[in-house]
Amino acid sequence: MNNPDIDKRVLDEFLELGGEDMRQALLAQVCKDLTRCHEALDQHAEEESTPLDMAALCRTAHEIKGIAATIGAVLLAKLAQHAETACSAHDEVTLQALLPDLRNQTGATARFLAELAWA
Amino acid sequence: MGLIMPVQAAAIGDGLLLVEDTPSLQMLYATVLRKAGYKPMLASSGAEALSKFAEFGPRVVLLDLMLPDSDGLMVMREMLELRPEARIVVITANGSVNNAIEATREGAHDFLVKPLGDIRMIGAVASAFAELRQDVSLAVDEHSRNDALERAFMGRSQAMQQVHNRIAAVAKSTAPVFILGESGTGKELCARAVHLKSARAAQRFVTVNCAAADPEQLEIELFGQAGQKSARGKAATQTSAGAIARADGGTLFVQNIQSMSAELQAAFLRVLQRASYSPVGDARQIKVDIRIICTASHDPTEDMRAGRLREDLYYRLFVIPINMPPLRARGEDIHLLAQHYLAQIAAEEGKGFTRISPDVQELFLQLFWKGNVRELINVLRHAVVLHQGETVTLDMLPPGLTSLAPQTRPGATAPETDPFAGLTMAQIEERAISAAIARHGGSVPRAARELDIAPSTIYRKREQWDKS
Repeated sequence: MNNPDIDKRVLDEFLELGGEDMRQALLAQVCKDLTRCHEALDQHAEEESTPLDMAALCRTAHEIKGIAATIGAVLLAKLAQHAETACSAHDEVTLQALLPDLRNQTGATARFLAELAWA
Repeated sequence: MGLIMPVQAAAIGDGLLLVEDTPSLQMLYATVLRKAGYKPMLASSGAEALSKFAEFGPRVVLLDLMLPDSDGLMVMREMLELRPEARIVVITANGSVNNAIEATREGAHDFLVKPLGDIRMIGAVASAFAELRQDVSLAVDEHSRNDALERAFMGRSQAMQQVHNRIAAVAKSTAPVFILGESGTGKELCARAVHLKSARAAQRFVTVNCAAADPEQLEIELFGQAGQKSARGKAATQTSAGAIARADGGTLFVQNIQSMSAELQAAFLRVLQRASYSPVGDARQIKVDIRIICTASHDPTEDMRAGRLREDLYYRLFVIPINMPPLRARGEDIHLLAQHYLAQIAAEEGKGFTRISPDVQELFLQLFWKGNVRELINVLRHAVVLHQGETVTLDMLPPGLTSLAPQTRPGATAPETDPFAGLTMAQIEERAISAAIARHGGSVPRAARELDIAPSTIYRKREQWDKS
C-alpha cells in the first residue's frame, strides 16, 4: 500500500496528546470516522447519474478536512478543502474531478491508520 | 481567614460544554480538557448542545461552527440570547476563518482554528473562565498572552522543537523550572506554556517580579498580610492574599529572584521546604501546593557564586533549565512570526499590509535581532504605521536597519567581504559577546571563559547596551 502523505511529527503529537492510554482509542476512532466518510464518498460515486448532493458532500469534505489537519494528513486536508470550496461555489465540474482523489486518499489514510493501530 | 481561595478544577470544569460532531475530534478535545483538570459535558449536534445548555447552564462553551443539523452561528446566537453572560469559544476549520471572525463580532469570546493546539485550546478556556470570575484584568491579560503564546510557539525550527520537547517533558512533573534566555525571547510565554500543558492548567498562573518592588512590599506581595485589628480590637479587616496564596494549586512564576533580599530568600526557601507559609503579621503556617517557575536573562550560577542568590535556594530552584533560543537562532521561524505580527499590526492600524517582500525576508534572516521578537515587532510596526501598501519593502524599514545586517551569521553562506566592514568597534564587541553567550545557552560565565574576560565585564557591557 502506498502510504498517504502524512506529517509524522503532527501525527505523533496528536497521538501523544491523550497519553499512552488514549493512543489506541484515538487511532481507532479516527479510523472509524474516516471509514464512514469514505463510505459516504463511495455512495456519491455510486449515484453518479443523479445530481450531486452538494450539502451532504460539503459536510463530508469539511469533516475530512478537520480530521486530516489534526492528524497531519497534508494532501488529504488540501483535497478536502478544495472539495469543500467547490461545494460552496456549486462548482460541480471541479468537484467531479476532485472526488476520485479525495475518496482514494481518504481510504488510504484510514487503512494506514488501521495498520498503525494494529502494529 | 479571608484568603482568596483558588477555584477548584472540578467546580469550573462542571461549567464547560464541548460541542463537536466528529467523534474522533470530540474525543481528542475532551481528553486534552480533562488532562487540564476540566470535566466537559459533551454534545454532538446543535440540538443536543442547546438542550444541554438550557438544562445545565454551562458558563463556557467550546462550539464547533459546522454542525450536522444546524449552523453553529445560529446555535451561538440562541445560547447568548438565553444567557448573555455565557462565554462561547467557537471552533472553525482552516479556510473558514471568516465565519469565526463573524462569530466574534456577534459576541463569541474567542475563536480557535483547527487543527487545535492543546496550549491554545486550554488557554482560551482558561481565559473565558477567568473573565467569568470577574477578574477582568486577568482575563484581558490572559487573552492577549495566550494569543502571543500561540505565535511565540509556532516556530518549527530545531531550536524551538527542543523547547517544545522540553516543555512537554517538564509539564508533567512538579519540579521547579528555570527558564533562561535573552530579553524578548519569550521566557514568560514559555512559563505559561509549561503551566498550560500541566495538570494545573485550570488553576492560576501568578507572576511576581522581584525586581519591581522594595523588599518590604515584595514580602507582602509574596506572602500576603494578616488583617489588622480595628480600633476597638474586635473585628479584624480581611487578610490580603499574597502571590503564594493565589497560586495555591497552580503555578507561581518568579522573575529576577536574585533581586530578593537575603532575608526574603530565606523565607521563600522555607516555603519550598515545608510547602507552607505565613502571611506577614500572622504566625500560623498555611499549607500550600505551588509549582515554581523562575526566569533569568543569564545563568543564575553566577548570581549564586557572587552571593546574590543563596546556594541552598539555587539548588532548590535550578532543577530543570529551559533555554529560550534567540530569534537569530530560529532560522525561518522568523518568517512565520513576521507574517503573523504583520497581520496583527496591520489590523490594529487599519492598514492593508499582507505580505513581506523576498528581499526583506532575506534581510530578516541576516539581522542579529538583539531585542529578539520585541525588536521584530517594532520594525514591522514602524513600516506599517509610516507607509501604505500591501507589501513591506526594504525602503519601509527603519533607517539604519539594513546596515546592521551582519556579513556572517551562523548557518549562513560565508560572505566574501570582510565580516566587520561598516561596523564600529562597539558593534563588533557587542556581537562577539552576544554570539558567545548564545553559543553557551545563555551562560555568561561560560561565555566569559571562552572570551577570556571576567563575567562582570559582560554584565557591565550589557547594562550599557540596554541603556543605549
